[in-house]
Amino acid sequence: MAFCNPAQVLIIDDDEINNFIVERLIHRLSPESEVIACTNGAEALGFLEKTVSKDNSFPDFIFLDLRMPVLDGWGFLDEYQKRGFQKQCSVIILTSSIFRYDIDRAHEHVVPTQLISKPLTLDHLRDLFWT
Amino acid sequence: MRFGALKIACIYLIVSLVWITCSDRLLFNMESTLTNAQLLWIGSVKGYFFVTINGLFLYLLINSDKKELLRSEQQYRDIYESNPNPMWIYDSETLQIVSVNDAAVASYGYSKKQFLSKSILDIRPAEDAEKTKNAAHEISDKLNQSGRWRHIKQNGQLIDVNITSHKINFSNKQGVLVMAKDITERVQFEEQLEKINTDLLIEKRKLRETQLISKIAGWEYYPENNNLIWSDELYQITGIEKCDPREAFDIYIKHIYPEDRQLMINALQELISNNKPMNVIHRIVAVDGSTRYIRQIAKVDPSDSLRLKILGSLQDVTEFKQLEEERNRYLHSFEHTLNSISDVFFALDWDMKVTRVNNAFLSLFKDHDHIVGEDIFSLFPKEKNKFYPAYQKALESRVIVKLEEYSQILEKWIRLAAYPTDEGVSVYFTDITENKLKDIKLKEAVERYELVAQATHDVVYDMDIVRDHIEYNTSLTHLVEVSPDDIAHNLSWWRSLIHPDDLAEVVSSQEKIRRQGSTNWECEYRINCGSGNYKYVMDQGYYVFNEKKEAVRLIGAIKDIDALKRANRENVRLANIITQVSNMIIITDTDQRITWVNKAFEEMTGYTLNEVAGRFPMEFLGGSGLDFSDLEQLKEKQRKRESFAVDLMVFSKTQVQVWVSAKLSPAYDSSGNYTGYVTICQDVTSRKEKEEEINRQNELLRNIAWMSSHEIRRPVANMIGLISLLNNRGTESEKQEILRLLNQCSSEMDDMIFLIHQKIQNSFPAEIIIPS
Repeated sequence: MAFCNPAQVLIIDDDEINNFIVERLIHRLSPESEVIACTNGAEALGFLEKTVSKDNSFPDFIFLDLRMPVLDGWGFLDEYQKRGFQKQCSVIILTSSIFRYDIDRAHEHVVPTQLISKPLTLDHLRDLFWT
Repeated sequence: MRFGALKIACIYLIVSLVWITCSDRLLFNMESTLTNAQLLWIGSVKGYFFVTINGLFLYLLINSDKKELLRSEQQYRDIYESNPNPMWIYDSETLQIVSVNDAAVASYGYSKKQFLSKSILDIRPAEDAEKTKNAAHEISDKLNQSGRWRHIKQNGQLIDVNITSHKINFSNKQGVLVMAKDITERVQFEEQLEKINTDLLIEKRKLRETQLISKIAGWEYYPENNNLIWSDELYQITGIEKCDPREAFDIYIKHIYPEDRQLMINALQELISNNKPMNVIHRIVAVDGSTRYIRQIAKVDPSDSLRLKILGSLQDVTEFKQLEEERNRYLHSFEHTLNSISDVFFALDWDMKVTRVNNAFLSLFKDHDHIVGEDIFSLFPKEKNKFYPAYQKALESRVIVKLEEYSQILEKWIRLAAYPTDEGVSVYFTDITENKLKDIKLKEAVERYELVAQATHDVVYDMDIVRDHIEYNTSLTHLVEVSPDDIAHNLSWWRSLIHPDDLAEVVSSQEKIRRQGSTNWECEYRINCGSGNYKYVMDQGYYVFNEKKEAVRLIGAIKDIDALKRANRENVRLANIITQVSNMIIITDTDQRITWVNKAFEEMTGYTLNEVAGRFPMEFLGGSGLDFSDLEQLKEKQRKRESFAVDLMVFSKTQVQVWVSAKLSPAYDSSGNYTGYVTICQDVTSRKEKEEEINRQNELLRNIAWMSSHEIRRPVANMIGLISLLNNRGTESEKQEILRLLNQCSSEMDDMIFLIHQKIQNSFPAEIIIPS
């Protein structure tokens, strides 16, 4: 096992409070890690395209909310799969939904590595960074 | 060649005497010319020569004799050993067998060793032992013919032998030479011969007895000297003394009835002259004065060629003759009987020719001149003769055959019986046409009655009122659980089965009919069919009255109408239910047109039966709540004649909406033919409204649940996350920021709760229930 430090993390969520919590928790665990936040799927896809084409770098973790304006989490996942982004990146669905439907659908989709019900905790992050 | 001791001695004597005489004479003559010494020498030489020659000669003779003796001995031994007859020698004292030849070994089966280990007692049956010892003791020195003895072979077979024995000296002991000749076959043959002779004697005695019983006796007659010789039996039969000095021929002729005498003489003359065998019956006056019938049968004896010899036999046939007369009388009587009976009779021989007929038969064939001797098939052509197999069977199988058949020739029904007789077959037949037609009619009537009884299952009865006896048909046991043995054939038993409440009506209705003198009576009542199970029956009877107008007979039929009665009651009950039921009932025909609706339908829809009869239900009810595919499915189910249920909205005559739950079932008549559909509709309007309300509430609940999951949970989750940040290390400004954000979250949550409350109030403005 190795601790992923520093890591590049992409948060896709229109809830700024959530983004604040995630960023703070990451920096507490890994102060050097870079945290980028996008407020919808379309913005995140643009960011990913840009950063890949620029220096061929890619975030280590993507925290994805499901309900967002413009392009929601499901739309992002389908597009992400379609565009063939590298698979080393862990895409974690971070949602406040406790609907069975959302949980089952997330498990059926090939892209997400896991689903975490909000709020994100330090324990979650430790498990993720120790890979 | 054997010389023998005497011969040798004689030769020796003669030759010695001749030599001595001749040689001494010669020596004497030479005395003058010879000296004494020479004479002595010559004399000595002569003596030596004589002795030498004699010794040589004796040796040759004795040797030759010995050889001869041995050859002779061998010959005798060969005669003994190779003798084809079994021979042995036994010791006279011990009776032990000491020698045995090959033939004995071969014939008896004992080996030579076994023979030599036995005494002569061992080869005989034990019971002959004493006799054997005595015989052995009495053996003389001469040849002994001991006669027939029994010996036992090695295989246990007992044989008869003829024994010849002779005493001999064997191995310096006294022995007996025995020769045994197997005479078993000869003995058996003799025994058979003896048995045949005995049998012949018995047969002869039997024949004699038989002759005496059947009164037959033989005689011989020699015409040339008129000599008649009678057998002993003949004397016995006629009772004439054998010692009667008269000529037998004369005695016999004298006893013949004068009327028959010439017949007998003529027959005898015919036999003598023309060699015609004699066979005559004549009467004689017996010694006791009685008349006897005598049959004489005679013919010429061809074995005696020297003189004419007639062999004859005489039989007293008086009894036969009497029987024949009796038979003739009987036949006459039989003939008379045959002619007096109304049955037709004819007799056939083995060739199916008519041998005898009676008058009844002749009356059938008046046109035929010759019936007796005719072939039966010329009278009854074979192709039309159905009775021919009966004659044939009686004739060949020797059994009585009886038959009833319609004769195409006589155009009548015939009952025929064919009896086998010695001559062929006797046939009797009767015209039974009238009876047969009656029988056929009766049979048809009975069959018809039985068929009707079977077809209806009705209990048919016939009551003899006078005798109080009722006869039932077999259907009774189908109606009432009773075994045929337990049926009491009287009125009280039947009435005991009638329900107590119905009995009075049955009795009174019958009495009423009888009083009125009416014939037809009927009554419905219940009867106990067993175990207290009562069934309704319809009893219909016909009274028969006598000349005094008294009812004497009641013939009737009892019909089980229980099912019908119950069905009627059930129908009434169902009609009431259908009329009173609150559900709408629509009955449609095979074209889906209304044929009947119930009262509930009329009340609920406002349409009367007359208004809707012949119309399609949907045409005026305007059912809705179904889309096109649902309608197609329903039509398909109806085509397949399936039962199904459907909820739909219909409109009453006043256009009021009514939700109904319709259950459609195909209907069939009692023969199983499809008659349409029966539709039962239940008013489910209030249920439908409640269902819609529940659906609406469910939808609201789903929305609130979704909002709880997404909208409320989001600030809650954020608050939890912020609080966890607050609990951990952080700067003061960060904590301030977190508190600000917490405040924002709680504000969002409050907004959300307000929104939910708003939503519920919009959905159920007047139904907010405050939990107690």
